[in-house]
Amino acid sequence: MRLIAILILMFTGGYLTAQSLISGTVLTTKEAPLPGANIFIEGSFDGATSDPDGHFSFYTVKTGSATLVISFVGFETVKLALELPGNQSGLVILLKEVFSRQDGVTISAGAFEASDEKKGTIFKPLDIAMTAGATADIAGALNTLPGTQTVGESGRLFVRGGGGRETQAYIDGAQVRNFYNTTPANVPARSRFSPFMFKGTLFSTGGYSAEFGQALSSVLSLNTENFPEESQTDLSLMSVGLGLAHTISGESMAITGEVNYSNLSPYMSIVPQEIEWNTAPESFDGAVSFRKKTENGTLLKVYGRAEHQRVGINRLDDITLDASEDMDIQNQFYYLNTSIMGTSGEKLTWYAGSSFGYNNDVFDFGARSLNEETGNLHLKHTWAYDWSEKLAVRFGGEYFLNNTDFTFRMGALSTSQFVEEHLGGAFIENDIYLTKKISARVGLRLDYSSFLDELALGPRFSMAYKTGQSSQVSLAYGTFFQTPQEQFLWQSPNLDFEKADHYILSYQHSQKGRTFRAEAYHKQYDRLIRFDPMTSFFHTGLESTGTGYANGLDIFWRDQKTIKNADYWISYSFLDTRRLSMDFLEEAVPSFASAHNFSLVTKYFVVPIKTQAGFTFSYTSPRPYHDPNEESFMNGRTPAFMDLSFNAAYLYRPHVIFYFSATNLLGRENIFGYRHALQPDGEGHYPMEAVGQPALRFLFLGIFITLSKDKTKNQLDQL
Amino acid sequence: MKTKLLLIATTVALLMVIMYDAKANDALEEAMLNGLKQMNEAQSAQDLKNAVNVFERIAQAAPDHWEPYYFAGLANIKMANYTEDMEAKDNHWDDALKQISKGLERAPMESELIALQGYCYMLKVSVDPATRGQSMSPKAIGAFQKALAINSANPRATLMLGQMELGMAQFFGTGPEKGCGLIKKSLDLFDSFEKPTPYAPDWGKEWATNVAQSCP
Repeated sequence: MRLIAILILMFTGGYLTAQSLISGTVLTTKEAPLPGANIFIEGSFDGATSDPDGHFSFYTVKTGSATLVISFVGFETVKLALELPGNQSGLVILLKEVFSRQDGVTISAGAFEASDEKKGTIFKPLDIAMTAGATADIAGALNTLPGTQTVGESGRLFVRGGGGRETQAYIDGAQVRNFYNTTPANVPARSRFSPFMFKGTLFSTGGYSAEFGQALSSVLSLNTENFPEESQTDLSLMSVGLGLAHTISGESMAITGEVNYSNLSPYMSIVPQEIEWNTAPESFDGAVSFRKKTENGTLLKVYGRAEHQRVGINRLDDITLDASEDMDIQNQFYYLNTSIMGTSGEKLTWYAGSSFGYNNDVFDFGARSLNEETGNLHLKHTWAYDWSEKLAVRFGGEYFLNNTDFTFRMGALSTSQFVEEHLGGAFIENDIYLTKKISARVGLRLDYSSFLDELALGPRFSMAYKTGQSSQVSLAYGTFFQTPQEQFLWQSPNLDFEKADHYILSYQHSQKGRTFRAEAYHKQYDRLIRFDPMTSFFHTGLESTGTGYANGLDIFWRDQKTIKNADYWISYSFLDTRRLSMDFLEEAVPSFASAHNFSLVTKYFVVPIKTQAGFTFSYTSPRPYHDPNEESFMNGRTPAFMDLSFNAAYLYRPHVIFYFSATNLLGRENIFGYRHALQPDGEGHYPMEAVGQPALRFLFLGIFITLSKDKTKNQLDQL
Repeated sequence: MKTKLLLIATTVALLMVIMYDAKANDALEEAMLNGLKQMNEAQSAQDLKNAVNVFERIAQAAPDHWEPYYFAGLANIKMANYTEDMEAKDNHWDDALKQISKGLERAPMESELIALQGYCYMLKVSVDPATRGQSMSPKAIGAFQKALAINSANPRATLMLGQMELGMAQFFGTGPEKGCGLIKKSLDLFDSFEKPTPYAPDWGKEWATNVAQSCP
């Protein structure tokens, strides 16, 4: 029986109550009282919250060894060992603020980011799609941002005095060559990829991360949706074609298939055109995307696309600008992008990606033709390791294989050229959060080209200093390399990487729906391609001795707050640039450069009629062109470019949207430049022709219908 | 004798364990009810912060229960009512979402938690429908539908789904029948709702009654 007594005593012992009083004050390390902290005995319900003076007190019935926990979000948790019962009064506990990367300053120099997920981004993915005048083209929308120069006859992104090829596009980390569709000379191209595909966009106008190479001016990094949440069917009926997409989404796998057909022939038969189209642009494309996620968070994305396009025009020939000639273009484009992302442990994240692209352009002029085939393979592997909240390192390597095959045919004669380039790249970069106010990014990149037989080392550096609650000053520096155009490579064995150095100083103030940014930069070009000006296709005197510079100031202001339901942004870019490159005889402003670019983008949601409407006004100052009839080089100036565009999306039902857009409401006859004949006419005069818009206006009307179990879904986030 | 003793000892030990467990549950119940009282009688953000801390203490001491995180989340949602600043409101809702996901780690298929998650998204949409409506409304609706798929008798999920439907109907100028149908259904569900524990979520009837008054 004694045993039972002991047992009973043993078990009831724990129930005997002996209260202890615990009290004290919680202060920050700066000795300011910290209200709201949670003070408790670990593993028990006993505890208290500190009052506005930081004081707390509570009773506990716990006995034996215990741990007193003092915790508050954003501060290091303190644990104290206690022997209970036993009163503890007058405790003074100092909590130290923890550094969290989220509190650190994100370097803004050179970068425009659009994301729904991340905080503090200036743009949402929808902004890109719903910009009037962009006609749902990624490049068109980004052209309303500072640092870009409108080049109306090209449609591509021209950044800070750089040419169109100096911007490199990436999808889910892997490169996309032939990002734009193929068009006849002086007919603006569009990006092949719909902006609706992307949920995150990073557009860098300079000073970008060491992760990216092979771009002298700018990087456009696009990320596709991680995982579609619902199964649905999307139907598009447009004035220019039809589209059908279907998504099946399961727990861990999702697949989307889409087909689109567009043909501008009916549209062009109604709306007057300035260009003589033999074949109106016609395209057929299909895409499949596949997503798989595993339980440990690894995400696999596969995206494949096939596209066929045809277009034909009649125009004045290049040589004399006298006779008309037909130009027929057929394009085939295939692209496969695969990426896989995952984590190993808590601190290491990794990414492996690949892309394969095949592009074939056939330019047929009747008597002569050019067939250009390119194959591009890109393999990339990166790792990111978090040493601490204050230090993260990223490193990786990549490999590119670029093949280009040109075949020229003139009557019965034909000649072929083949270029194969192996490129290797490796980078390492550290993100250092020195304090809450200062962060820095230090990186180094190595590029090797088999064709150029050159190894290039490019340092990258940027840092930001937080000057106030919502403002920062940042600066960036970097050296960037890019292989010259394929069309020059086979013509000379002695070329080098083209090179650009960027120096950027930036100020940003961003607060509650209003953002102001001013950025000044200097860009130094070196080792640009030069060749003998008397040659037009087969060049002589090719060498990497060209130079150039670009200085400028970019201003950006966005306000989503002042006017209810309205949003607008203003961009202004000033550019001073000159180059000695290509066929230039002397240093001059290139024809794609304009000193002043201005955009005003407005969006307004008209609640009573359920319509989002927007206007975009763009201005580009006169651009230079060369008139061989004049003594001096590149002396001509085009008129200024101006455009006022409108778009509107009307939500008829939650799953039905009507969309309308129109460009050039003012009906201005914009002139982008002048072509000149390569040969003078009988009187020794070089004939000239103005390069204008393919049509005075572009009008678009579409109906977008989404069919899903949930009727509230629509394609607005895809428009 | 020896075996008998052992038997008695084991029985007593077992009894003690059961008693202890019961006592622990009583303590949990007491602590939860105390936290609920603090939350419901709160007059300020500070009072609500106290309640959040109470629930967080319970959450760490009772690692098998999702309810402490549910109410820590709900108290955070209520804290957002004490500020007009949109960013501060957002921070409270984000805190609530964090609490809810901690709860979901303990009970991934808990209808009430998922409904509360939807409620957070719904509130986030309400302050900025123009930019958030398209991305977050489907998330809210998806959460309510998932909550109802798990427990079709969840009155709060039914009510909030009805509220979303009413909002959409008002915007698109369609009839309120669907939304009102759900609101009325939620009233029936509130009436027949039986709390599985004394500290289970049971709020929302007043809200449903108010909304139902505007229904035809």
